[in-house]
Parts: sequence; C-alpha cells; structure tokens
Amino acid sequence: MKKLIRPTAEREERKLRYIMFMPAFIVILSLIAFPFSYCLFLSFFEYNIDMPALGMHFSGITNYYKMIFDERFYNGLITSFKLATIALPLEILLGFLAAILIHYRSFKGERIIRISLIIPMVIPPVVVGLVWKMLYNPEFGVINFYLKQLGLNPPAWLSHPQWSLIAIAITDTWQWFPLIALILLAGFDSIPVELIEAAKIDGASYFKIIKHIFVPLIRPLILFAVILRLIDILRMFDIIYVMTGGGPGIATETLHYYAYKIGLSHGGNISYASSLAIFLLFLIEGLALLILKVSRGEKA
Amino acid sequence: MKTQQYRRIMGIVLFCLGITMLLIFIYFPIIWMVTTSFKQRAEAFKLPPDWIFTPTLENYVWVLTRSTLPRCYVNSMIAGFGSVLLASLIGIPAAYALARFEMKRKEDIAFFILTARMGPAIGFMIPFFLMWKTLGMLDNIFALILTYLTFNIPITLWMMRGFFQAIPRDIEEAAMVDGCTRFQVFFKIVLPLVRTGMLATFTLCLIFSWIEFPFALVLTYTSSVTLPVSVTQFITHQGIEWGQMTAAAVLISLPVVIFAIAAHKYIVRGLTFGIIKG
Repeated sequence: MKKLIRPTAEREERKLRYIMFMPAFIVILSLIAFPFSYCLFLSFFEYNIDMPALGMHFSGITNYYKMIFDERFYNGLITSFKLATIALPLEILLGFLAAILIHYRSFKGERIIRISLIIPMVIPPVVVGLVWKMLYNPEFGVINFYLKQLGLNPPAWLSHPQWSLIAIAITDTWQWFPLIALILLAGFDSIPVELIEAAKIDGASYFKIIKHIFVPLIRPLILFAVILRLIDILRMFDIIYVMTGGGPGIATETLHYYAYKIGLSHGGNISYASSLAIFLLFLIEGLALLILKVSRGEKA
Repeated sequence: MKTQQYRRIMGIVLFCLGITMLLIFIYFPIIWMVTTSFKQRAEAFKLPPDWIFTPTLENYVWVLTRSTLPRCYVNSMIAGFGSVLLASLIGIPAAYALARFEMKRKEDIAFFILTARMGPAIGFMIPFFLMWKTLGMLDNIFALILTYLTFNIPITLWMMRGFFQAIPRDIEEAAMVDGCTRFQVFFKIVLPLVRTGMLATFTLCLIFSWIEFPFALVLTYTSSVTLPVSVTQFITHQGIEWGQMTAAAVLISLPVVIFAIAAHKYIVRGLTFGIIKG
C-alpha cells in the first residue's frame, strides 16, 4: 500500500506528524515532565516555604535518609495499605455481587441500574465525603440512629481511632464499587451466550456457572480492577480532607495526606514533602507498570 | 420437577431482593442529601427523620444569594471548558499521531503520559504551587486551566487514540489513493467518524475538571475558587451547616450527574484510560 503514496506525500506526512504531535509534546514537557523533575530536584534540597529567609540549600539525600527514621512516614504508609486492605475486599465483593446480580437475567430496568452505578463515581468526592460525614455524625447522624434502634452500641465513627479508617473505607466503597461492577460486567457481557447455554443444558447451576466459567474468564479483569483501585486509594485525598483531615491524631493520615500536611498545610517543609511525593510516585509507577502488563496480557 | 420450580422462584426472589438492596445502598446517601437540602434547619437534625415534610427552598435561596457559590460556578465553568477546549485542540491531533504514524518508542510515550494521570496529586501540587507563585499566577483562573491539562491531556490522548485505532486503515488509504492528502483525510474522513468519541472525551474531561479538588485547593484562594473548594466553606467552627451544605452539594453534583448519564456508555472507558471498553 505504501508504494502507492507518492514521495512528496511521504515528506508531507512526516511534516504533518510533527505538526500534530508537537503542541502536545510541548505541553507534556512543560506541564508533566517539568513539574515532575522539579519535584525530584526539590527533594534533594532543604527548603521551607514558611521560612523563606532560610533559603534553599542542597542537602543531598538527607530528605530520603530522614524518611527512614520518620515514624509518621511509616504510619502514613501503613495507614494507606490498611485502608486498601479494608476497602479493596469490600469493593471487590460488592462489585462482584452487583455484577452477577445484574447479569443474572435480562430485565426491564437493567439499563436504569447500570446507569445508577455510574452516579456515585461522578459525584465530586468532596461532596461524597461531606454527605457521609453527615451520615456518620454520632449525635445527629442517621447511621448511628438506626444502629442504636437495632440495639447496638455504635462507635463515634470519625472521631474514633480505629473506626474512622473503616468509615473512610466504607465511603470509598460506596463511591467505587460500581467501577468494579461495571468492569466485571463488561467482562461478563463478552462471554459468549452459547457457552452459558451449553452449561445450563448440561445441568449446571448458576453458582457452578459462575465458579467455572465466569471467574476463570474474568480473572485478569479482577486483577486489573484491584491494581487500579489500589493506585486510587494510595492517592486518595479529597475524602480524607473533608471527613477527618487525617485525624483523630494521625489515625487516618495516609502517606499522600501526610505529604500534603507537612508540605503545604502545616509546616511548609516542601522539600521533605517532595521526597515523600517522589517515593509515592515510584510506588504508584510500579503498580501502573503492572496494570499495563495485565491489560496487554489480556489483549494477547 | 418441583424442586426445580422451587429453585426458580427462589432465584427470582433473591434476585429482586438483591437488586432492591443494591438500589437502596446506592441511592440512600443521595436521597439523604437531596431531602436535607429541602429541609429547614431544625428538621434537618430531626431523628427519626421525617420522610414526608413541607419542602423549603430556603437553603437554595441562601446559597444562591448570600454565599460565593454563583461566582464559583462561573469559575468552575471557565476552568472546565477552558481546559477541555485546550486539551481537545492539543490532544486530538496528537492522539491521531500516536495511533497512526510510525514513531520511535510510541508505547513508552503513551505510558509516560498516562502516569501523569495516575501519579499522586501531591507530586503536582508542590511544583505547580511554586511555579505559579514564582510567576505571580496563584489564584488565577488561567493557571488553573493550564494545570488541569495535566490530567485532561492524558485522558484525551488515551481515549482518542482508542477511537482512532478502531477506524480501519483501509478507509484512510483508499481516500489517499483517490488523491486526498493526509491532512484532508484527517479532517474530512477521520474526524467525522470519531464524532461521538470526541463528544464522549469532551464530556469526560469536563466531569473530571468539574470535580477536581486538590489542585484548586492549593492554587486558588478567593477570586478563582472552584465549586469543590467552595463547598468546604460550609464546614465552620460551629460544625457543618447541613441544609446549606447539601443545597450547595446538590447544585454542584447536578450538572455532572446529567453529563454522566448522557455519556454513560463511555464513563468506564474514561475511568480505565480506554483499556476497558465497557
């Protein structure tokens, strides 16, 4: 086919390639690569924005060295992963159940339910956080009211050192289990109907069909969804900001939130925050590479 | 035979129960938000809640006349549309280039762009804060538009690349054999074919810009505050003004929910960077 294109056209095409990609390249360089490099650069310096008089000094790897002895760094890392270990299973379980339920039989309102699943995901996370904060309120919140009616002794959720993290995980689950449900549904929909019909004729129950046909076929999708959500939980910000601000104490202070607090809201130690950001970036980058491998393997 | 029938009925009962529970779980917080926004102050705190009450527009009137919300609405619109327009203008041709032309390390470039969307916000909040501060552009809506390109360009590139790749090459080559230049092919044949895709990408970017919080929090103070930041003003030292807060929340969420329903076929694709075609 290529031979049919005249040489002038080929030259023209090369020119066009630059014209089309150049603007994006410049933007990517100045708005993605430069800030990233600047962040990396800062992480090797000593710089506090609240004390500009002290200036900026090169400090080598001091910031990274400091991390090793920083208890709040470990606390942040552990909190991030704790949050993930609470929220992820909940999201996968609920997402999986919702997906099977919706796929179980075709019914009239199916489209409405599929669209309903989208709504939590697009409501601004700040709003989601505030509304759930209202629901969790120990005195006037509706959750504790009903729990008390059931004869339970509910915790003060957001001001409790352990329950606050669970409360955040539940909020995150509400917002994001639909994504898992929809990803899995996309997988279910791609399973040929004949395969399911054949299994049904052979007398397999619905549970057997799920176990032996659905689960093996969508395993890569589940893995994809898990990594995607893990990345998002590691970078969660909005919900923590409005619901607890990292508190009580540092009980819900994830690594991401710690970096924000120490660098931009309290402390102004922007260079140390940069090193935390770089650490987090590499952690996420590793996961992102993994996700790409998973999604490529699925296509192949 | 009887057990089979029994099983079928049980299946339907469980199914209906499950769907009801799913809907309650999804909609309960939303309904709570909407009803609270129509309640008077005392009613909003009442437990057990009144599910039937005389609605009042008091909170909406307060929010629309006495808070900074209307102004933030304008800011959010400028930031959203501005950034999305720029992202489309820059990103769509680039996406086509990534999809069609031979380039060295094409996949690596695409991946690098994607990581910008996945990276932690703080990694961009710090450098952007310092950059705009140095340039004297803090609390400037144009700075916010440019900052939002960091996620709008990756989404545009990845979404549009997928749409371009889905067009058979034969169509373009046939047009070129007929004497069209690449340029003409792109404008006259390819772009009309991806019209829906462009619209979907546009809507998605608009949604993401509308709900963006961390950048707006750090980069704006007064004159260019966007909606998600403005809603946090209802957290006062005396607690949260629930009625006013939920009224603002409804006003903020409504446009995105409408947009999302309009573009519902593409939301999953957008949230998974075009990897899951949903």
